[in-house]
Amino acid sequence: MEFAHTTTEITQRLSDWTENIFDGVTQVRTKFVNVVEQHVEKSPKFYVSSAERKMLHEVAAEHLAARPATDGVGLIFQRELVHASSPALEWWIRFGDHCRWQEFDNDPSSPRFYDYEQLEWFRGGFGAEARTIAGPYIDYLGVDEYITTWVIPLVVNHKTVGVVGADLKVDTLEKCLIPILQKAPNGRAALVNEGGRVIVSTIGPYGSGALLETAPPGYTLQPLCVADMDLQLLFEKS
Amino acid sequence: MSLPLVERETAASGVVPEVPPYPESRMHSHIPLVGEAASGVIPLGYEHSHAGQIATAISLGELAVGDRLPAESELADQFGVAIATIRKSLAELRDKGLVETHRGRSGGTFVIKVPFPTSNQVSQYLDGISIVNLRDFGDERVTISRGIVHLACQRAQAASLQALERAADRLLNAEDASAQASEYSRFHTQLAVAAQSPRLLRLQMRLLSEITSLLWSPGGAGMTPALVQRDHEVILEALAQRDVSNAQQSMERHVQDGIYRLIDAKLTLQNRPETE
Repeated sequence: MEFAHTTTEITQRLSDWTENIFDGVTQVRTKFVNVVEQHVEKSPKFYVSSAERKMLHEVAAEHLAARPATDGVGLIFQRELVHASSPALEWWIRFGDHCRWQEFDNDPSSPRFYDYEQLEWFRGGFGAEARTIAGPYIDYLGVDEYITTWVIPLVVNHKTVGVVGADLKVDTLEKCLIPILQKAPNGRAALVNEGGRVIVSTIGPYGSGALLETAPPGYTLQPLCVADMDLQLLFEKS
Repeated sequence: MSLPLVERETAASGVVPEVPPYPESRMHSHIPLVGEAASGVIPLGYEHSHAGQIATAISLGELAVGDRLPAESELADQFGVAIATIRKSLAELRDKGLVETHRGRSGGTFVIKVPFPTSNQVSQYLDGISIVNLRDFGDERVTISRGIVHLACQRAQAASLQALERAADRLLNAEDASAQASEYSRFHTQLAVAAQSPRLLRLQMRLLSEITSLLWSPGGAGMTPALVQRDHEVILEALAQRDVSNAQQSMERHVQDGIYRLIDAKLTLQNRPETE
């Protein structure tokens, strides 16, 4: 058994891990933008042709191959900026050792309509124009998994037109982060989202999805050092 | 496929009668499957899915020790597979010592043992599932169990309470983890019987089939009869008083405690390499 790490070391490692994921999303955004930016002059609305979708697919496949913790990646436009015959979501999910384009229901009159503009990840990345970790949430009518979505604004020609994001499943986050959290005193700690929701945890009563308004009795919250984000580490008071 | 609820329940008491012991065996024309087994999920450590399904039915008490399994041709019909496939599953159950086959007029395949996974199988299983999965299971079991004790508080009569007390006593006297698991399962099944809801009973049995061996295996939560007895006593007392809120709170604490222990067991198991 290793000696317990200080909570500062743990917050540092969690912060580095988080920044690394956002670095990946930022890199993939540059490549996506290279494919779609030509539209801005051609037409007032985005239309992704099948040739362009092939190029986006290659970018997504490369990203997923390089990042085993990521389960899905893509770009999503604000609906009103997209041509009626082009899907507003260009999203790829891991499928075995390759990746697959994900279809969503874009018909507002359908009971299975994926009304993403109302969702936390779109509001954060597009509305607030900030990096956001949305969730954990059940992506009902989307990929239908219990996931987190890490998004940054999609900026084309100095204009925010949507978001670029990556999905990380909660059980994958567990595999990656629990070895770090277990180094806390008594092995009990949790990573807490900006909204006070637990992302990953080794504390039974405060598991993934639990909502904490303040630190529960006997616990302390310590901020992570991730720029522009209010993530926190929850751990037992010594 | 549904449980033979009516057959096993006497209208007067609502109490499940004791199964006649071997060799006056019950004969089944089909395997009563519930929960995971009915949906085709193979339980721990079985190579053939039908062997796993039959083993689950036994571990739940739907097939008791001494019961005779349906004929091979009937099993083949029930599962919609060839007789040769069923034979492989029966051979696996024989190899695992769960059933034995006798020739002759009063022959057939009989249940001789209730299956219980090895500590190692339970550890492997825990290592492979996520904490969030355990938490989600806990959420479901808390919700269903609170509903069951609520109804049981309103509907249980003296006979049901006595059946529950007997089940609690049997658990206290059970010799090993396997017997404890099976008596634990009977106590919580009996609670759903006392709630008088066949649908909740089916749900309860599915939940128990998923959790019981994890709770009692030394490779899992490592529950002890003394620990569980305290919870069962509080629940029984609340039922006797028809104190719904106390019964629900005690049940919730009991279920959560099991889940937290499993999470801790999982965490002590692993020292995974970090990725990304």
